[in-house]
Amino acid sequence: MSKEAASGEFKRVAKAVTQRVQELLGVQAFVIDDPAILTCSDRECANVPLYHSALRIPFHVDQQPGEIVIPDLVTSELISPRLARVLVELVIGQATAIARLPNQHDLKNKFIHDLLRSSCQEETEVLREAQILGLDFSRPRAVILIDAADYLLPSPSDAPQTLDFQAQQRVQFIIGSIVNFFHLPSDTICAYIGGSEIAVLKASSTQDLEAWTDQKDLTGNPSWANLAALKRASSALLERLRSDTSANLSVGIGRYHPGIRGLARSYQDARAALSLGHHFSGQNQVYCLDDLGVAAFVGIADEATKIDLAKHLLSPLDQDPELIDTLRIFFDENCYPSFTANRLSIHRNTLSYRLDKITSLTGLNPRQFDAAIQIRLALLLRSLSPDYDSLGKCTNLESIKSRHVRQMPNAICS
Amino acid sequence: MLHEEWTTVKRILVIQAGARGDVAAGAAIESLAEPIARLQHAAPQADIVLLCAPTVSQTALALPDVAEILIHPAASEQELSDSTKALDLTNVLRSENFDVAIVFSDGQTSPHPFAYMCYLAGIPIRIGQSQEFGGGVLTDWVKQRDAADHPIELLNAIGIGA
Repeated sequence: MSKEAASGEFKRVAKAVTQRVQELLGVQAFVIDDPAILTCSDRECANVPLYHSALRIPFHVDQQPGEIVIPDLVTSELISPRLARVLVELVIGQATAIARLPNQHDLKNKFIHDLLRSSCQEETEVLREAQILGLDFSRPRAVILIDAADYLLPSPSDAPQTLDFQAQQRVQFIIGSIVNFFHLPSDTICAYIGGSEIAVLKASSTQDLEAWTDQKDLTGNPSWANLAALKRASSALLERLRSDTSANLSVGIGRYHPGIRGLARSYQDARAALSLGHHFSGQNQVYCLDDLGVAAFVGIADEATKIDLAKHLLSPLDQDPELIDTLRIFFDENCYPSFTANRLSIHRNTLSYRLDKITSLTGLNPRQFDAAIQIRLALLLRSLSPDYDSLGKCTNLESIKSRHVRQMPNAICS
Repeated sequence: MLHEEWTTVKRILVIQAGARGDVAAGAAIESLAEPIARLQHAAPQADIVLLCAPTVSQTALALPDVAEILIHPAASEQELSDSTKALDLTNVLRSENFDVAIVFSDGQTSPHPFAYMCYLAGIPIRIGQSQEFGGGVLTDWVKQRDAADHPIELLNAIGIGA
């Protein structure tokens, strides 16, 4: 702990001890933190010579030494020095024990940290602990992860074991700013989870995100539902935080995963998005896995997440297997439109129409290199999922392949 | 504390300080039967709650006038020095809303540490007997005349006779 923070805690203990001794024993008491008197039960105490003291008891708060000094033990009756010592030691012991107790913020931060970073907790135990801490987990929630390294850590590469007093205040400032932004405290659970990360467990139902919802937003897979609204909310939040802190910040968004354990998965999504986004695109942006392009497929280690992402990217085409067939043949023919049209036995303009439709539905243009790679990887990864074994396969693929005899240039056609 | 004030008291906490060792502590708890009966007589409407360590809880159960027995590990002298347990005891006592705490002692042990816990727990009247004056820790301090004072002496001193 920094000297500044320790000093604050020391002062609180010193004040509690002097007040309590004065109240209990009816005698003047003060605490010295060499060389100056730190706190005193009586305004006159500064005039008392330190060498005329009936009782002096040293104590420590963390590593900081101090000494309580009682100049005189005579009140209406003489208080026995032995008894006074025992009582003062009890007072000091109790005050320092209270100072060591973790406060509600610390408990909440630790609880959220454990919840997000460990997936092996008993759900009933987690819910019970959440209830004790007054946290509402009955609503669906997704993780918004804020990286505030520039604001919290003087040197991000050298993250300290504990935050100093100023950094703790900054954490509280950011959390206050987040809660103000979302208005309702129960809507947003915020916690500092170590390093430079602040996690926001945002209620993510359609109703909770109403202010950021667009009629055009696609639904479908529940994990990706409301993600567009969550992105808009996060962008607005990032703007507010940057304005409030005047610092560089980044935000990662996790998908909603059902159940209390789903929060750990949402956190993994957000963390991966933040890490990849930071690496490829720098700070001051909102990152989500489905916006990271090829980087998401390359950077995510978890295969299930990659398959989920692939399904999500291709989900707008689920109702139209013909478009999936078109994509497969298009890539099979090295993105060469004439040969693709030939193999599909359609007019080249029909192919162009289908590719436009794919672009419009997915936001990915198969004629462009990056988007084409994403779609190609998504098709491959989706085929790894047993759910999609039979979907989107070209019914006459074998017959088409038999006519595929030409080696085409590796070109992406416009 | 005036005699008539006992008739308005609702919850009385009784603590036996001192008497180290299970046998001595058990005997000390047994010796509280008569003082507690007198207390109940003086405050018939009050619930008398006895704080004791787990080791003597069976003995405490045999006391007829005790409404509740509060078992806490910090209720023994040596455990009271554990600040975490002492804090927990304080919280427990606070939640029980006692009006009066009487700390009996074995004549060798100061009632002040327990009285201090009661002070922290916000119990407004704290009665005890000791040779040494301890400021405001005991609101009703009775000076001990000799080392063998019995709990009955304390009750006599505060006006609760036979």
